[in-house]
Parts: sequence; structure tokens; C-alpha cells
Amino acid sequence: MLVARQGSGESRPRSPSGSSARVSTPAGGRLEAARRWRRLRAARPYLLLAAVWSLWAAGVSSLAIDRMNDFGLISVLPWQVLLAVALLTVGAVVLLRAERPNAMTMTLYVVTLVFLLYGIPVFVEQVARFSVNWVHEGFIEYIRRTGAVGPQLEARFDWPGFFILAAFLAQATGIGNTVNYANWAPVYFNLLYLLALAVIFRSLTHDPRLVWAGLWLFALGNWIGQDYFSPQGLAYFLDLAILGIVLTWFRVARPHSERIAAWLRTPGRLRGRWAGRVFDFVTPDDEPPRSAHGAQLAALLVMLVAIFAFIAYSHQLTPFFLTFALLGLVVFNRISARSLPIIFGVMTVAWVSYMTVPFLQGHVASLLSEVGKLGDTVGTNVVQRIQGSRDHQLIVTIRLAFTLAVWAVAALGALVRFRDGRRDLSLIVLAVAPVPLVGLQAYGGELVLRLYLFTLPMAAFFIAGLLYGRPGISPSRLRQGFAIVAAMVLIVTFFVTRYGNERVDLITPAEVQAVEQLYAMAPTGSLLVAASNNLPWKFQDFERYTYLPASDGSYVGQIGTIATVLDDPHYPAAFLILTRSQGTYAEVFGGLAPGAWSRFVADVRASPWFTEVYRNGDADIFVPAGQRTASVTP
Amino acid sequence: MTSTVTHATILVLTSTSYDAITKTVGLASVVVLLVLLLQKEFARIHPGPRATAWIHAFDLALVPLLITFLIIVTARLAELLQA
Repeated sequence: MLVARQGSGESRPRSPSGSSARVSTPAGGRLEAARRWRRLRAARPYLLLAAVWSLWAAGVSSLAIDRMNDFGLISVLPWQVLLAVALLTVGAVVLLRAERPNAMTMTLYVVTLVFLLYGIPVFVEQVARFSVNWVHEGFIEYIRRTGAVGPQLEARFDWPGFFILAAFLAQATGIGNTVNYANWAPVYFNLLYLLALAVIFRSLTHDPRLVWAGLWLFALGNWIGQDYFSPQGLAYFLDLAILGIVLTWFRVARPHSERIAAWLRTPGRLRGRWAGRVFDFVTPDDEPPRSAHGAQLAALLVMLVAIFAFIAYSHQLTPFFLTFALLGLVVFNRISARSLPIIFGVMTVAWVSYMTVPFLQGHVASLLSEVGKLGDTVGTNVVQRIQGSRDHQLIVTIRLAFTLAVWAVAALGALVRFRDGRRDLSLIVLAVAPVPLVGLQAYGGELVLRLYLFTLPMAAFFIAGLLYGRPGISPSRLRQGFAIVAAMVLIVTFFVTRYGNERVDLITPAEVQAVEQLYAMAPTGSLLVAASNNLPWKFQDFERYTYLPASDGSYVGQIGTIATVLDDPHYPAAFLILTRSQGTYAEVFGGLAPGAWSRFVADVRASPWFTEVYRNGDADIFVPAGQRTASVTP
Repeated sequence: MTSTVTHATILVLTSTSYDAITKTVGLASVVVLLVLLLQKEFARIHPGPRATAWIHAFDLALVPLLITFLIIVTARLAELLQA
């Protein structure tokens, strides 16, 4: 190589104009060709990246989002997008053939993957998707307008950290409405997750290929969609950051205690040889923690407590998951900071019991009644989710099957690593620690989803461990080929599961415009009625109105009921708003027959009980007949 | 002296409402509990006989504080359930 460099650099004759000329000898030609080949070889990953971005851009620009059916985005996803992600994955597998893959190149690949998977709505949806994003914008607008939070108005204000931070950032940077940037949230949150996960994975293995593959699988497996502009989206990153710090700087190198082992081996009640063996098994040695001075460790501890304080201040569920995880690590002596779970537990319980009284006053009995009802939790989290249109039921079934498959393959990966002599006890503890929470709460039918999210990092690592990080075993071409095929299935499954609700989550500019007109027309104190909560409302002055959506879409077809609801003398005015997204919600989740929503809207228009005051392509606003409200021209 | 202190304490606790007690004495005990737990972790960073002595000393204070905390939380929840 040295000879080639010298030959190509120094013996090259110069042309009269000063530019280099080709060497005409056969040896020179070979050297030139070899040099060109090397350059091409080095540029291959980047050429592939350029091709991937071009393909993806071409696909996204031709994506007709308004033609989606109940299968969601996959029903209109151009083949170029799938091919782009597939090519990128093949490129990553090729790069990971090197024992020490180039970190910069792999970082580019991972960042690209996140954009390819999570960035599509940014470019194909004109306004913020998912109605909850608009509600969160309303909370932030309230804080910016009043300089306070209103726990008596909304339960989520009992955990206001995220909203206050967002309001502060919006005010400080002058970006205006945060909802305008909400579609970017999955991109930047997932990039943050992967950053924190890299710290966790690096604390568990020396094999960088295992780290990269784990990150890749996490990105492809995160179908849950909790990474939208929300408190839980940020809290999950902070959760991973805390675990990364704890596992890197506070892990215990030798958790085995001879004193306890000797005591356990002594024959007696619940003691004996087997107890000693179990103890030996669950206390394998670990790598020493990353070295740090006492002051640095103290600063890290303070940082951990500060980060956790923000989590406890921002989200209801994440503190419990994290406290359980740390408790598990302490019980198995995997970390030296043994008071952390107690500190975190006290902070969580203190916050809930002191600062969330408005929420607890109405819910404490129902919350406590769910404790121990495992069957009910499984019912609301699994069985009751399989409803709605036939296509949607299939999507939900695929999600459940995918979730179970991920857990099963991860368990297999853990077994394979165990056979290879890796105990990975910290990871196993982290994977199992949140499971008891299923017995405590149904969390509105979402706890199993959250359980999947909180176990996904560990699952991704174990699945990646089937291919990489095995002592003395380099992945064969056959295994790599199998990995690529599995990855292709995973890619398609990702788009099916992740964007399976996209038809419901899609919000159009016309709907936003209609809600803006609603706020322009409705005097303070008005009653606002809708067929469901799935519309972009509550994003301004939310506390000045009473909202009455039918949580299950039961208003559809019940014109008389709606007229009765609107005819309430307690309110200065009443409005009914019907939008396209409410119709899709009723069809996808409620199983409403195609066309039934349009007929319902037509019936309301024709009804003598209502007067239409606004209409555009995606929304209608009505008032009770006789109510004086100026009609607005769209 | 001891009886005076005890008498004063009982007087304070019985003359104020339960809600006020949990929001003053209760919150103060939570803060002290958290500070002591963190101090205990700081002591653990530098292992040695002196640190061990400190940790034991902290434990002496932590146990009653933890019990107090649990009582306060249970009482607050019970009050909410009755409301």
C-alpha cells in the first residue's frame, strides 16, 4: 500500500499546464486502477447513502396520504421508501462485517434510518398529526398566556414539567406555536433515545457491532408511537439517560458476597446447597465501572436526582417504571447507589400525594380498585384493543403478534448469550422489573404497550446478540443473509404497526381552519360538542369552553340526542363541530360502515334542529336552530 | 425539659388541622428524608471506616423518617378516599 501511495504520488509526470497526467505504463495503469478502486470502495457507503436518500425523497414526494385506507400508511407507501430502508439496512449489515466499523459512517447510517422511519409525516402531512398534539399545544398556550398551570382545569397539569419547559423554550426562542414543530418530535426523540441507548449498550459489551445492531433493532422495533410531542416522549429519554449513567458509573464489579453465600449454603430452613447455587447464579461478576473521581460521582448523583425530579414532575407512569428498574438492580446488587430507588420512590410518592390532589380526589378509589386485577388489565390492554373495522383489527393483531415475537426472540437471544457464558443479569433485571406494574394498573388499556416500550431496549440488545457479540464467533454469510431477510420482514412490519392508525391520526389544514373559525365564533363559556375527541381542538383558550365529545362516537346517527345536549341553558352558546378525522375515527376504531359518516353529516345538515354556520371540505360547524351566531364564509 | 418539649410538640400537633400538619411537618420530614438519603449516597462514594460510621448514623435517622413518611402518605390517601 505504501509503494502504491508513493508511486501514485511522486512519480506522476506533470503536464505543461500543471495538471497531472495519466501514467502510460502498464504498471502505472494498474496502480491507478487500484487507487481508483480503493477510492470507490471507501466511497461506497456514502454513495449508498446518497442513493437511499434519493429513493426515499422520490417515494415520499409521490406519497398520496389522502388515499390511505384502514391499514394506514402502508396502504399508500411507495415502494421506493421500503427499498430505501431495505438498502440502508443491507448497507449497515455490510458495514458491520468489520470488527470495528467506522463510527462516523455508522452514525450517519443510524441517523438516516431514524429520518427514513420517523420523518415521513414531517414531509407528507401539512399540519401536526395526532389530535393529542393539539391538546398539548393548548396547555402550553395556557401557560404562556397566564404564566401559571391549572391543575383544577386538567389532570395533566398535575404533572406540568414538560409543558412548562416547552412554554419556556417557545417563549425564549420565539418559535411561536410549538404544534408547528410537533411532527418532528418522533425524529428528535428517537435520536435522543438512541444516544442514551448507545451509552447503555456500551456499558454492557465491548463489541461495537452489537451496540450498532441493537440501536438498529430498537429503531425498527419502536412501533408504539409514544414519541410524539408529549411528556412521556421526553420522560422516556430521561429514563434511558438515568439507566445509562447508573450502568456506566455505578455498576458493581463483584456483586457476589462470600459472607451471604456461606450463610446460604449452611443447611437450614430455606437454605442449603441449592440456595447457594442460586445466589452464585444471580451474582455474576461485571465489568468495573468507568473510573471517576469522588466529586464527579457526587455530581452524577445530584444530576440523577435532578433528572428524576423532572420526570416525577412531568409524567405519571415513567417514575414507577424507573423506580422498579433501579429497585431490581439494587436487589441483585448490580449498582452501588443503593439508596437511589428509595430516593426516587419517595420523590414519586411525595409528588403524587401532595401535588396531584385535584386528580386523586376523583380517581384514587378507581386507581386502587385496579390493583391486583391482572385479568382486567390484560382484558383492557389486549382483548378490548381488537375492535373497530376489519382492517384495523388485523393491524392490532399484527401488533400483538409482533410484540410477542420480539419478546420471544429476545428471550432466545438471552439464552444463546447465556450458553456463550454471558449472564447479562443487569439487562434481564431491567427487562423483568417493570412486569409487576401490570398487576397494579391497567393505565387506560395502555400498560402493556408501555411495558413493551420499556423492555424494547433490552429486547433489541438480546436479539442483536444472536448475531454479534458472540465470543470467537463471527457472523457467517448465511447468518448475515438470514439477518437481512429478517430485517426486511421487520421493515414492512414496522410500517404496518407504527403507522397503522395514520388514517385516524392525520389532521388536515381545513380541519384546523374550521376549529380556528369555531373559536372565532364561540363566545367564552360556550359548549363545544363533537362526535369524538379526534379533532385538532383545545389548542387555544381551552379553559374558556366546555368540551363535550362522545368518547365512543355514540353521537353518530343520534341527531335527537345531540340536539338535546346542545339545548342546555347553562351555556351562552352551543356549537357542534363535525370533522373528517372524527369520521375516520368512528370508521376505524368504532367499526362504522363506510359512507355512514357522510350520511350522518348530511342528516345533520338537513335537520331542522341545526343551522350550519361554517363549512369547508373537511369540517362543518352547526348551532342549534334559533341560536344567533354569525355565519362565516370559508 | 423533656416533658416541656413533649408537651409543646403535642400542643402543636393537636392545635393545628391534620391537613396543615401534613403540609408543614410532613413536607419538612420528606425534605429531610431526601437530603439524608442523598448524604448517605455521598458517604458511600468514599468507602472506608469513617464512611461506614456515617452510613450507620444516617440509618438511625432514616428509619423513623421513612416510617413517618409512610404514615403521612397513607393518611393522606385515606383522607382522599373518605372525601
